[in-house]
Amino acid sequence: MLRKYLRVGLTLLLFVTLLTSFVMLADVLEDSSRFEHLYSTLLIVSSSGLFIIGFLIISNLYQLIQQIRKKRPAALLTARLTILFIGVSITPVLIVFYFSLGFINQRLENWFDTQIEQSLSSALQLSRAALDSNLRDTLNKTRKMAAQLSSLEDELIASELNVQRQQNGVSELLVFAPSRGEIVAVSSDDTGKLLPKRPEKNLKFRHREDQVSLQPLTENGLFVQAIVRYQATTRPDPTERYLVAWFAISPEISSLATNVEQRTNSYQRLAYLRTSLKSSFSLVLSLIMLLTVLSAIWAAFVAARQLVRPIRNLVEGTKAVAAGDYDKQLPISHLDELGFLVESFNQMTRKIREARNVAHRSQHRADAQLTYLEMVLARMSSGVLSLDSELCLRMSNGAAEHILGVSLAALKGKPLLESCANYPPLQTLCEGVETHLKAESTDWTEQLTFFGTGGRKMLLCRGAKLPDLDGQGIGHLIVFDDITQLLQAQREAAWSEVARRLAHEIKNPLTPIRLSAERLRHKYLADFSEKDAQTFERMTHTIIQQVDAMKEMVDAFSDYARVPQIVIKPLILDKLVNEVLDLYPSKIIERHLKYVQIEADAGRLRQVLHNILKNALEANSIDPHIIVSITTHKENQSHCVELKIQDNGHGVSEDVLGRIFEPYVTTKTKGTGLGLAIVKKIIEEHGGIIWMENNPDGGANVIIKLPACA
Amino acid sequence: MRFLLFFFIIAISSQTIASEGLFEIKSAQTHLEHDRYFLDANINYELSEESIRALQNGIALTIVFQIEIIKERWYLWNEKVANFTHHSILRFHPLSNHYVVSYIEKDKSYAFTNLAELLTNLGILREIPLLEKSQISNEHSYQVRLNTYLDIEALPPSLRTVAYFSKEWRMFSDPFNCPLS
Repeated sequence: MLRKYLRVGLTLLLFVTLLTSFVMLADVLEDSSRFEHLYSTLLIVSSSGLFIIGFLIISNLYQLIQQIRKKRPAALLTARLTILFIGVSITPVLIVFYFSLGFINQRLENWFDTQIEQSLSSALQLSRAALDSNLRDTLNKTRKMAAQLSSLEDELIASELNVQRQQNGVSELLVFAPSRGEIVAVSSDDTGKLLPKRPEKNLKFRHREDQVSLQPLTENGLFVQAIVRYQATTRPDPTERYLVAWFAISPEISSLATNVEQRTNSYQRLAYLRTSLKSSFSLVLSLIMLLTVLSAIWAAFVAARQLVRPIRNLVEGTKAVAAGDYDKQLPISHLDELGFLVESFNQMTRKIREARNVAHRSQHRADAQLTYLEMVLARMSSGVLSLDSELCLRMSNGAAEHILGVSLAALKGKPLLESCANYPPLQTLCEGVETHLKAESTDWTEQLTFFGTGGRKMLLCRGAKLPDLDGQGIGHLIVFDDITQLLQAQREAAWSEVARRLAHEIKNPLTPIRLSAERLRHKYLADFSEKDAQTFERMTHTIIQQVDAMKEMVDAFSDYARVPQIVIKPLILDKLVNEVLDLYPSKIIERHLKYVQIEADAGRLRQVLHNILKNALEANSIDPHIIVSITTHKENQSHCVELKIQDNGHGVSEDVLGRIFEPYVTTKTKGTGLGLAIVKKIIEEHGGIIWMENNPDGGANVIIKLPACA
Repeated sequence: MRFLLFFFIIAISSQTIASEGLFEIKSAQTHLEHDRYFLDANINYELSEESIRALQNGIALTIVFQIEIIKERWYLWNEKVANFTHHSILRFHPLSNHYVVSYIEKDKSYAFTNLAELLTNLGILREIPLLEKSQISNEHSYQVRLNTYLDIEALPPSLRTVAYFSKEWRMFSDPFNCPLS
């Protein structure tokens, strides 16, 4: 603000100084003596001021060009307005200047009329002619007086001078002796004057001839000075004397002649200065015109800039808003229409900013809710799929991928039912839910058997309609749970109960039956004939043998139903596997083991390995070949160990494969069908999982996955 | 201010126009008389045709004669101890056909029937009083610097602009130095 006031103050000072200078210059040219001594200074001050304004204009022009080159907002508009203002203001000034210049020249020429000049010249010549006759008379009178004085002694000259002066009406008479360089005598009508008019140095009496002239230096009118040389004849050798006489010209003639001289002089002076006067007037007028023009140009720059400033601010503000800067507030300099426009713009940006802030907050809340929802969904054990109205997959959670065993990221945004063809694991799911989706059932529940990479799974699916996120249709929500484990646990619990009851209800009577059979044979065998004895022996043996078989089966049930008493200790898995494998022929077993440490019950694990190896050997009794490998993986931030036993048998049929670890499911003709069920139970007791899959090259793979020590 | 202006204009115009050198200080010497220094000088004044025409048309010409007493110093620059300026105004009286010179400082005027005689008399300067002896230090040497020029600032204002840029009006002498003794 201070800088602005300073700039305005300096500008006003500059203009006031220039205007004052021009007024003073004009005053000087009007023949005023007030500022005559300042004329050149005023010219320099005025010219300097004009240079300063010129510099300001060049500076403004340069800034404007730079703004146009840099394509600053409203620069072209400023240039157009500036040119318009300059054109509007300069044109009348130039017209006025042109006519003023002509007017001044015309007026100055009119001053100098040739007739006046001739009249004044004639008047001067007339005055001179009038005075010339006076001069001749004066010279004659002086000569006569000199003739009178030439015969007088020096001592008598003084009295004679008085007489001559009075007789001839002379103001002053003086006799000078050049040889002695002194005044011989003097007589004057001015009795108050002590000293005579001493012959000046310019009258050094160099001239031998008599002189008469009009004296310009007298204060009391015009005087005529006559100098006549004569010879004093009173001495034997004639001595040279000069008689100097001053004759006063009559006051009327003197006044008239002086007046004519002054007027003529004044006119000649003006006539001589005519050219320079015209130049000076033209110069001052040009300077004033330049001041006006330059001021108009400078004012045009300033006015255009001031006028365009709110528009430029608006353009810059609009650009800023377009670039997303809603905090832009424009300064309001005037409360006019542009000010109202600027205020409206500010209100608009304020409202946009508030709306943006509200939107940001809403977005933030929505993001937070989405994040919350994603976190909830990510940690849900149930798989969740969200479909839009076009049945395109919109969202899924990690549990869905885990249960389905496929990555769903690639399916996002694609129609689920059509994509299933490219993803075989999803086909069962799609076939199961397709009916409900197309029927647009509001709520539905479906239990599906799912064959995926993880094996056979039982899924419990629930579906519901959802409003689509974009509000343009109805979407679908599919939630599914893997209930395989649950169903299996239920089955296992039932089998355990059956086994426990069998063990309890059947095992108890078996011992008395066996003992009774043995007692019968021991007590009555000897009493029978040989033939009957053989029959009796065979029958009791059969009873005992079947009871043993039943007892063995009941023990197996008991083992299955028994609550595990495992002792978990850290152990090196590859070492344990090697110990077990060493019990089998080495040529049929191929080992790919690596060092890994787990926490497990070593005895139970040995039981598992023996059971699986026994099954693998039985799978190909002619030329068995078993590959045992240990690999480590990282799943869900935790390390796990995968133990794989691969045989070269015939594999397992697909319908059995899913239930192979259930009790009484077996592909062998002998056995209780509880071996793999027990194996699975032990593995699950260790927090692991086990499954079987057919090898594409033949044979079956039993895969055990156990948690490894970190 | 006027002198500064004059020299400023002279400095500018001398860059482009050769000086005429119509005024020339031929000789100058000082002498001590009754404990005061006096200056005698002979100057050749010659007016340009344009200035004579202006004089005969009623324009008064002012000729300035400047005298500076400079104390010489071995350190820094010399010190100006005194400055005397004499103005002589030349006029023409058409009625009497006389040329008149007025010495402003002396308050005296002399009339001449022709200009040459006036200029001759104007160029003979005698017994111009300078400083008293008591004002002069014996330990330093002094120089008298003389300079004379036509005062353009004394011309009518309308003529000054032309005069500053016309060599016809630029009449000045080269500086002349003589010892103060």
